[in-house]
Amino acid sequence: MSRPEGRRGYTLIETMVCVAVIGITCALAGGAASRVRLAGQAEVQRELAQLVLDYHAGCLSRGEAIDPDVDARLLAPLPDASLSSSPSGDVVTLSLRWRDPFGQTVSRSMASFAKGGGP
Amino acid sequence: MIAPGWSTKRAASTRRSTDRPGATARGFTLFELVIVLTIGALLVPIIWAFGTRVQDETALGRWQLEVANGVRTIAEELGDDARAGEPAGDAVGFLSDGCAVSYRVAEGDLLLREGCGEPRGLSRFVESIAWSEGGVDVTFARVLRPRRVHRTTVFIPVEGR
Repeated sequence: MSRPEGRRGYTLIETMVCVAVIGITCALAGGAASRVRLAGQAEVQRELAQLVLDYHAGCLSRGEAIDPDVDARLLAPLPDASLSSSPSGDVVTLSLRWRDPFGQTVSRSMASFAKGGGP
Repeated sequence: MIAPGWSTKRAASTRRSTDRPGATARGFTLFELVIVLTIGALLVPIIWAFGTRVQDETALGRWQLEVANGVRTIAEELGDDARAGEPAGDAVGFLSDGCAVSYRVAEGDLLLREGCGEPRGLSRFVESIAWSEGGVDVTFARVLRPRRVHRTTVFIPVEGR
């Protein structure tokens, strides 16, 4: 694209390229910042999942019944949470699956001794 | 006409550039300035708001990590204290062998005091801690701006409660 002799200032194309570069940079920065927040939420969810597993493992090892209200409150912050247990002798493997803020299903497991052979 | 005391060379340099044959105009027209100022007035608030949002998002992310660390620490301490003693009082605390263990919030920090010892910090950004059915409710709060406070309440089960 030729420019007339002695003409100053920016062409429309140059201006659009500058605006596009600024826009792309902002979009990348915004995406990275959102991922930081979601990663923080995912870390909180992992800790809450650990609380669920600790609670169930504690009840199993003491031979106590699971309080449904406590269980419901623990599972409430974890979207689509499901807890499964697979007994093997005196040991029960607890597995908790939930959907993290990125939309992926993640799981966490814990093995616990069960007083009286498990649930 | 050259004024007295001015050399011909000086007089030539004081002429406007447009007086020179073939020279182009310098400076901006009023229309160009208005356009530049308008674009600036549009872009600056957008970029400012965007920068604030990015700052908030990263601050929230860091805060969430603090919350995760806090939950882990508080749950471990509560578990140890619950196994060692009995819950006592309306405020979160335990009594073990005549020794009182108390949890209290001071200026956004959760402090744990065992017996007559000095209180030690357990977690930051804690707004309140209170007994709940079957455990303890811990509320974490982060003030981003005076009108934007983020709160999250975490339920931590406590043995024997």
